[in-house]
Amino acid sequence: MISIQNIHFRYKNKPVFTGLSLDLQPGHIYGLLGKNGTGKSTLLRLINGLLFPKEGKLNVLGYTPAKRQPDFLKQVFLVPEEFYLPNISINEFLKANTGFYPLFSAEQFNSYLGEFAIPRDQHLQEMSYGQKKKLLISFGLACNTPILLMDEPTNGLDIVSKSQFRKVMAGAVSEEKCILISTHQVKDLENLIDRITIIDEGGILFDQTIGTITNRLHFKISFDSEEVRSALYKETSLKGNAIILLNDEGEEGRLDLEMLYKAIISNKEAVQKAFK
Amino acid sequence: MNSEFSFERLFGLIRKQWIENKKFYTLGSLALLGLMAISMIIFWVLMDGDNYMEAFAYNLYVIGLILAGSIYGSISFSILGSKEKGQYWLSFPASHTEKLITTIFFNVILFFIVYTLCFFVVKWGCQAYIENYIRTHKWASIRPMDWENGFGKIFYYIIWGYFCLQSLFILGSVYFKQFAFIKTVIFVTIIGGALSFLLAKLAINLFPDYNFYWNNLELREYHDPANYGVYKSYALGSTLSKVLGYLLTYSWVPLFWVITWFRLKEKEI
Repeated sequence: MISIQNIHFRYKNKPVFTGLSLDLQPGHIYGLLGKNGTGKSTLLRLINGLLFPKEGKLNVLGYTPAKRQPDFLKQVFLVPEEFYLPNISINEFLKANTGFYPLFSAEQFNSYLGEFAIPRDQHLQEMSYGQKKKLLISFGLACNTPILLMDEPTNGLDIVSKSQFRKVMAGAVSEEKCILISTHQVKDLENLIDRITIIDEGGILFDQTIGTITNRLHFKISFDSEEVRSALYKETSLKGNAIILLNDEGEEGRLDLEMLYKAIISNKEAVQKAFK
Repeated sequence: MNSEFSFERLFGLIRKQWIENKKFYTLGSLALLGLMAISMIIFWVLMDGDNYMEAFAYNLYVIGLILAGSIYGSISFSILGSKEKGQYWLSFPASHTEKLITTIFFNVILFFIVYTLCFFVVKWGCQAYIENYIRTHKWASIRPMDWENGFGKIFYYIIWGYFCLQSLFILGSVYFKQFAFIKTVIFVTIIGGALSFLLAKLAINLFPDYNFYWNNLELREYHDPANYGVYKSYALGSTLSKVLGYLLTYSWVPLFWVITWFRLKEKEI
């Protein structure tokens, strides 16, 4: 569905990707993580055809995104971190845009707006940033495009809205859709994504499904100093030591995305070794 | 439906543009009508003396058209100067051709129609006032526009020149993210000035004793400066001159649009 092969990209003299390769399939919600400035948003814009790779191959649904063909664009929807919405009512917005997305469902759109508690008759100018973002997310989901790209979708959402977002997203997954969410707020995506991709230093640092991660790693709270010493990663807290161990016993446990992320960033080799 | 162009998508895009900007277009048209009325009343009705000339109204029309049209042209793609708006516009499912045609429809064709309508509405009002004034003031007069001579004769060329200029400003709005109008003016002045200077220098050095005539794209060398009837002429021939003349006159607008289209395709945000 999305095939990225050895792409290189730079902003003037600042290299962002130096040979990044990635393959994304439908039926999954991918979490794209990484430090600030590692190129998460850039990758989404490359997939959407807003930026062009300097080298390498990028194929999305059989199209070259950089050509920005209408048949390609109607199958990809991007919810950017910073976005623009025209100064019109919701009804007018639908009237102006829905004709371009053949799979758009007004019923789904109304249902998502209901989940997010956004009044249907509201004017976009009267909405707060968070409300506008929720409207855009609702529209993007209701367009039913095979590819949905979201750049920091939970930025600007309050606590209640974040849980609404998780609920809405969980209901939007389907076998035909590939959803790629870029974020640095890893907690917001917990229990939502089924594959984690971390980018750093111009390439892929880590790329595994949640199932594989929980098979190989064990997240737990421990008071055993021997166990803490052998941990791949540890964090001391009042409740004890939160640690990540190699899951040699095949124990079932809950994944802590934030801890995993920190472990990969701080102890890259050890974590990567666990997956070899 | 073709991947690069479809009438259905084009009409959808025009409809979308109208829905999203109708307030701006309506207020802009009203502002244009108001400014036109103020300019015509001040500069034609009040300041043109008692011997009114219709040509003066058309002068105002041309000056206003060039000014307003260039400014409006230079904001055609200002949307691409903002990351958020640019993303919204470029990632919308329509081709660059359809997006360019929609912009041309609103910023060139519709603007010209609205501007011209505003002018005729205001002119009709002003002329009615002037004719009434003439009826009550016997010494006053109004001279109709002479379409056969002078300004009237070149009027349509000026209008075409305006379209060339506006297309250039539209192109400038894709090149320059901010202050497109000022930057295009500076660019055109510098490049146009430098080109004119170079061509003039080249012509003077290569053909020191020749005069150039646009009529047949002809160069003439006068042997006897006291007798202009004696000269040597080099011309491209009537047909070739006409073709080249037409190309030089009418190719600018499509040329600038084609460059704009390529720039849109290359645009990254």
